[in-house]
Amino acid sequence: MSVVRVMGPDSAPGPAVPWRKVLWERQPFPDNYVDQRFLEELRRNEGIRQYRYWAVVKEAGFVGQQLSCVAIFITLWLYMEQGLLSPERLLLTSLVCALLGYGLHQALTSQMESGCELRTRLADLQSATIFLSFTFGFSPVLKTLTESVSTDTVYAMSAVMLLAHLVSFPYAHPSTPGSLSLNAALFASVCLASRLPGALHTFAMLSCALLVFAMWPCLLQRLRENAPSQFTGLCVGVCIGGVGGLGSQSPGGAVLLALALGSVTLLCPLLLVMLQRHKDNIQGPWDEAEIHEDISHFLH
Amino acid sequence: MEDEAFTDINGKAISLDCQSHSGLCREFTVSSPKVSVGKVMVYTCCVWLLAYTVFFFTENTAVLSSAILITLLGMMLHIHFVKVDHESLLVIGSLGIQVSSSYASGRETTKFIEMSKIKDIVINEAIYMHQIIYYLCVLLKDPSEPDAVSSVVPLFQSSKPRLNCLVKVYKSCQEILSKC
Amino acid sequence: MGQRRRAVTNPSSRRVSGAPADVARVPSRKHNICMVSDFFYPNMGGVESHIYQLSQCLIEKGHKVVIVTHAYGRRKGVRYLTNGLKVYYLPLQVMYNQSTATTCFHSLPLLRCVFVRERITVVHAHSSFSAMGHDALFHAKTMGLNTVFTDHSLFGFADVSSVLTNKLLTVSLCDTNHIVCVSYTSKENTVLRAALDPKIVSVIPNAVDPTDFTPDPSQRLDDRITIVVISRLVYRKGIDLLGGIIPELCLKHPDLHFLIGGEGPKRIVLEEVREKYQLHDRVRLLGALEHKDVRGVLVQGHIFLNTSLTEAFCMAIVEGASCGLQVVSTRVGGIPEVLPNDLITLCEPTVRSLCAGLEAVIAQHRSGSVPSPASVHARVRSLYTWRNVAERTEKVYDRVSGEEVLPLDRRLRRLRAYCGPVAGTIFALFAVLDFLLLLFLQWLVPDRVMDVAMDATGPHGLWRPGPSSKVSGTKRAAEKDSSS
Repeated sequence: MSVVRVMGPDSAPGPAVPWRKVLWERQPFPDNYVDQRFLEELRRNEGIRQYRYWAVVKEAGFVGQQLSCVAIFITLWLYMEQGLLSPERLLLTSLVCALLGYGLHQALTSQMESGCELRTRLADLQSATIFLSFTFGFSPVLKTLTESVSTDTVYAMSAVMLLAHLVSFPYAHPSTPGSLSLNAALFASVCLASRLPGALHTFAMLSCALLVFAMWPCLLQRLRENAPSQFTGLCVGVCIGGVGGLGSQSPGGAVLLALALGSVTLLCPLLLVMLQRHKDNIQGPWDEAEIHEDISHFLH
Repeated sequence: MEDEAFTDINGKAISLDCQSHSGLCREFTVSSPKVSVGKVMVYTCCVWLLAYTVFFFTENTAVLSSAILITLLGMMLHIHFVKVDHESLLVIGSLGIQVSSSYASGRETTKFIEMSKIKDIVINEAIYMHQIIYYLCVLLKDPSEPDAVSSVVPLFQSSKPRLNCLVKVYKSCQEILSKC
Repeated sequence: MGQRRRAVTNPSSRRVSGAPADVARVPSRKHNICMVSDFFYPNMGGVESHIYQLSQCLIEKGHKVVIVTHAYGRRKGVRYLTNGLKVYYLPLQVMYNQSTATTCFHSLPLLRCVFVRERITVVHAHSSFSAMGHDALFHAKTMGLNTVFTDHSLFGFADVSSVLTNKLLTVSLCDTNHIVCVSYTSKENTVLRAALDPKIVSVIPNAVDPTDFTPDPSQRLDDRITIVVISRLVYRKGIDLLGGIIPELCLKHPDLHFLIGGEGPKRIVLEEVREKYQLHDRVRLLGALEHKDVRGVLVQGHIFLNTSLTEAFCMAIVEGASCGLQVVSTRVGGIPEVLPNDLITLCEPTVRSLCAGLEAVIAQHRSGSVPSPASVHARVRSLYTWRNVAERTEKVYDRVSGEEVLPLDRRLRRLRAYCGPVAGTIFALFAVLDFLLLLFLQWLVPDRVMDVAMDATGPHGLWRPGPSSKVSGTKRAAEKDSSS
């Protein structure tokens, strides 16, 4: 109490009146007085989400699925490079897959009946034609594009770009793949495709890349929204396909992929759920207020 | 007059000599210590040792001869342009102020400021290297604008005496300036 | 030698100036205080005016005060302000947002020089954003001086930058003698951020000069209701909310006018709103205001609106109330503590809540049930005065000067114990290096060869207004010349 008496504008007679958290009133307390109510407005971990392990695993499956997609693409490229897969067969398979996927997508969209902007089939066909014809026309150019660059550099660049694709992929809202992730993936596929033996190979590889990196996430998003149970099954299927496909070419790679998939889908969620207990988020009146409402409608 | 021991801002001893030529004419001389032989020896030895080390590895005699040249030239330049032996301030009431500094080599630079341009002599504070020091300076005015300070001439720039010395000179100067 | 110099530099004829105030007062303990902050005039803001006003009141109480800040453009060297308040503008490199770069060491020679030649006993740093303030605290502790720190702002805990800043604050404050906060919310915030003992944190609110902010109802236009907003136009001041309020209320009340003073990146939001709803005649953007013009704008209004999203102590609402306006504000930070409930309408930080609050006050205005500006001013004028602030800060200095400064070994132990194994060890190493650098400097330029500065203020102050005095001559010269 000796400290208390030194401080404050008024010498403290005794706390006859309760302390109030106001500055405009001269109170009979020293300036460094600490009341019972000190920090009573402190709130911890407000609005925290408690995660359940299997729910997190399901969500993480999507990350694993994307990883496997990249593996499948690399597998296809390996097959093409070694001449085990002819470009005609790949193109045909891609076409069938694309048509099947398109049908499924249309079915899911009409189920949802989101009337905002329904693109006509004609428009879809038109953009597909433009894309394909451009890719076909430019494939000889793309084929020779990286000829002056050494093969090691091309591989390293593709690896970095595929990694960038995986890191920047918008896993939370993958309805349209983010521009950075899509561009990185396409750049990687151009690099890889330019090392294939012929122009038709390049064309087939690029079409396949569009299918895997641009179309597939769109379809998957629809699936996720409309058929969650099938979505989980599909993720598992893609993962198995990725591991199996890579295994047929390089067993070591397959083991690594399996390990990566295991840690991403099983270990990381476990860590998240376990570390959740240690979360200590402090909130109080000093926090900057957030503007929740949408103010932009006053402007536009 | 030299009863007090003065030092410069680094703690080295300096001496202040005040000569009163007449009631309105006084001369203040601040003398720094002479170049010490020991210091010259130390610097010379350092340069030569360095040169010998270089010579030991390169086995090039030009290094040694250039070291001798550098030492000699450095010493000459130092005493001619850097080392100030004494600085003096001659205040002649009604006429002006003469500021002169003489270098160790004997070279002298002199500057005269006529009374009509002098606004005042003050002690000022400034940040010098990593220190904050007091220094004496002459405030100049433009005759067309008698109230404004047009520029500042710092005094005793190389000897940098401490405040007690400055105050003594300042008071004497003010005495003369107030008379005219 | 030291005594002798004092005798020479303090001739008795010059002692007259500071004396009368001292004689009248019981000779209580006088302190030599050094205020350090990156933020000072010519920069404008709350911290700057706080330092200036507090220093002036402390000088009035007979203490010696000097201010240390960094050079602003060509303004470097030593300057004197009103009543001989000495300001050192040190040539230290500015890094970001008027805050100096910190290496923990490079400012030591100059700061040591200031502390030694001014015979400083208490070093008082301001604002947690000021790197120079933290540097000064660090060096002051190395030199064995007592330290006080005033925190002027609130800070969150959520993002990476605040985690880092809070760690640095912990390091800086763990061995500081006393901390001052401007509101109870700010105290809670600082105690949490720096993991402090709440007993060494005092709450001393800011103040406003009531004579600067007096009401003048004749300036108001009776055919309209004017809402005044004076703040920097930045996100943290809730300008987006203001952009929502303006059209909402202007559509309902055709006689409502807005007067907005201040400048900033969010000005564009207000301009767009004005453009879209054709409110050019009813929403006036005045741009940046000088402090002396603020009152002239305030007295034209009926209602003062503050939309801040965070605020430690809102000086603006006190200024508004002091000019007799009805205050409407968001309920954030320390604002609910500042004004009694009948002088302020508190709202949640949403457009809807602020509009409702404003409409209630507008309705009161129309029915004529608001208190008169003069009565509001009379109530506010005695709430926050700088004299009171200085009195309470003086008590902090009195307490602090009785405390011991931790010697190096205990300081190192304190750093390791309070700041965690990694940061604690790093900064303990820094403290040792700082100490070694200090020893080196003391060997290079010993304290005894440093001239003691003439006191312009303080118990033996020489300040005497008038052109013939030597100190003002020094000042005039300082305006002209400064070397680095």
